[in-house]
Amino acid sequence: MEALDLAVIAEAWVRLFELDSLFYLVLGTLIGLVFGVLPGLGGTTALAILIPFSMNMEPGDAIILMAGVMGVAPTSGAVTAILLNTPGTAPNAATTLDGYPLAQQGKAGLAIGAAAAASGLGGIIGIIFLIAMVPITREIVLMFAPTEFLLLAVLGLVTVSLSTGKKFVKSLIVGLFGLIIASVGYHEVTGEERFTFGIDYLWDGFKLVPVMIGFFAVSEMINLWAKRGSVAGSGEMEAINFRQVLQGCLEPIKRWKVLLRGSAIGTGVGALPGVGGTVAAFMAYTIAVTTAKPSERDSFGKGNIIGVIAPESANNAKEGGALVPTLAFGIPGSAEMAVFLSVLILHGMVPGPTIMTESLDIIWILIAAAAASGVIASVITISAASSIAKLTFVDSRTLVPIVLAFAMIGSYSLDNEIYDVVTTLVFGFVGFLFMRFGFPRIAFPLAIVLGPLMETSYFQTLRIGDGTLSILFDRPQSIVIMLLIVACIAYYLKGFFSRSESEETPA
Amino acid sequence: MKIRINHNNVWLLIPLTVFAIGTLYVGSSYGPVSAFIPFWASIFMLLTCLSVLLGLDGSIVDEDNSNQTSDQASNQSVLVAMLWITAFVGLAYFLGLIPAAVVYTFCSMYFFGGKKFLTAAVTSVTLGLILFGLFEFILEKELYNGVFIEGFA
Repeated sequence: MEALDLAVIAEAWVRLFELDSLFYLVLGTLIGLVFGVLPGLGGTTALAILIPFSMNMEPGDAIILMAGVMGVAPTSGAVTAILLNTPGTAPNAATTLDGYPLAQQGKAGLAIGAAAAASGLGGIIGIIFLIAMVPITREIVLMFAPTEFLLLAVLGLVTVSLSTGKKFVKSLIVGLFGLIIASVGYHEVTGEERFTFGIDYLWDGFKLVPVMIGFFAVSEMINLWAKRGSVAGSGEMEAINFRQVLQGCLEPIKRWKVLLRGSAIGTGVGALPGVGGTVAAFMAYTIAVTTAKPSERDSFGKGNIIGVIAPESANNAKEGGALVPTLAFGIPGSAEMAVFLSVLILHGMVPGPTIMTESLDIIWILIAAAAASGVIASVITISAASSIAKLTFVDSRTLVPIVLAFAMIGSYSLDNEIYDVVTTLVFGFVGFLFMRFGFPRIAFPLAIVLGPLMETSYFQTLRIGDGTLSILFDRPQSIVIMLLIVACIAYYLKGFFSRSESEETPA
Repeated sequence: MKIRINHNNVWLLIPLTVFAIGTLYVGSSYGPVSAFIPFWASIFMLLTCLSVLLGLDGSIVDEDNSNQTSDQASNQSVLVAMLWITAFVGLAYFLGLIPAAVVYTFCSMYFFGGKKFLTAAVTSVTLGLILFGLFEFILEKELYNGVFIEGFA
């Protein structure tokens, strides 16, 4: 099947506008909106909870539902960032820098309009990048052998940990813990049982869905319950002028250079494993400040509309970029993509070179749904910003039991297995403890997803290399990836030793 | 570089270190292909845990300097939260999943959230009806009905 087969593309769009597909798209968008607006929850939690419910659906419908969630979560988080100075998701933190001052000046509508339009347009630019990558991705992936997949998985974990900055080692611990958890159960090739301790339930290993739901959803519920009060605290909300909202929508078009630059940063950063939306948003913001006219620079942080457009366009454009390594290599760049990857796997799609031929129809449905959900999200955000922001005043004593019920019942319903509920609970505790002690959790889902890929690639590498790993040094692709791994570790060590020196030097 | 025990994370690092030692011990008994990930992941996990425990990663200074505990809940609140979340599983085991969700939501809102009886009752029953409709009619999946109906087996 040709990657740019127009019939397949047209079929995907026609499918998207069928009544049931539209229903799933809007449903996913609404669910993503609620989760995206609530600080601490976000798109990853929403995706994890939705996995069991998507299992009865056709793969296309499930992908549309998930794309709806992924498209809207970053957009809705900007509303609370502007109105309440409380970012819905971590990348929206950059939007508070100028969004909240604008709201305090009575220009909340302008900021929300600009954020929604920048998000929608940024998302579309990211999707255009993904579309451009579809035809060439397969050729690139075919250049990689199992040896490179083994090394790419290691590189993914290292770069993800590196993205946590000074918490690199802690993030590595979480990733290594995830790898060990992923190895529980019988080995796919040798059939040997590992860490089962005679427990039948563990023969197949820990199931992906209960683990993900526990690690993200239940851990957040424990955190919310322990903190008490409403999700966003007791902030005062600024009023919105609808005329300003419409004016704000035109701002990203007037400042198209800022929009394009922010989107390009988001797309590029999104394609790198682990770097994620927060880095993309702050990088876009910083570059917007440094490239602004000298007379404008002082206004940043005090309510400059560019400070809203740049991070929001980057934040949404990253989704398109992040889908490239996820689909092509099966190496997710973020926790959200790791959960999405598990959705693909559970629906029988194998990321890698084959997905571009065997599941091309699904890829185009995903692209169409992601583009449409970004637009729907922007329209909803523009028309109902105040109501969306009010969601954050929901008391945790109301929210926690409802989310917990869906999480636990969803976990059970996957295989009608009560032990899955226990697994969800246990990994909820594990995820919460990592969060409580300041261990970045991003490496865990990646390790859980990459563990089986690493094991298979390792076995295949041994087979190709006649029982040795010498082949790792024979192929230029492998050597380049190994050098990248070494460079990442060297980068961390350089920063670490320079910090140690400055600490030892008396002031 | 000074060696200094990381007291901030010691309650998590010690179990993780023990976990790494345990998996290293058990994992090393497997065949070479099966042991690849458990063995090497355990070794690196042990080394990284020890480096953080002994403060060799430099995180102690950052944690001492940062004010990260300011918005954290107290240990007592956390313990209560963990017990209350566990209570859902206990309730589900005895009552079944949907009745447990209804009872749990009502108790959370009425007893812990200070909501009015009617508000809590309406919210929890509505949740139960949504869950029942979703699983019974849309997903067509039978849910766990509790130990009294399903039996103790």
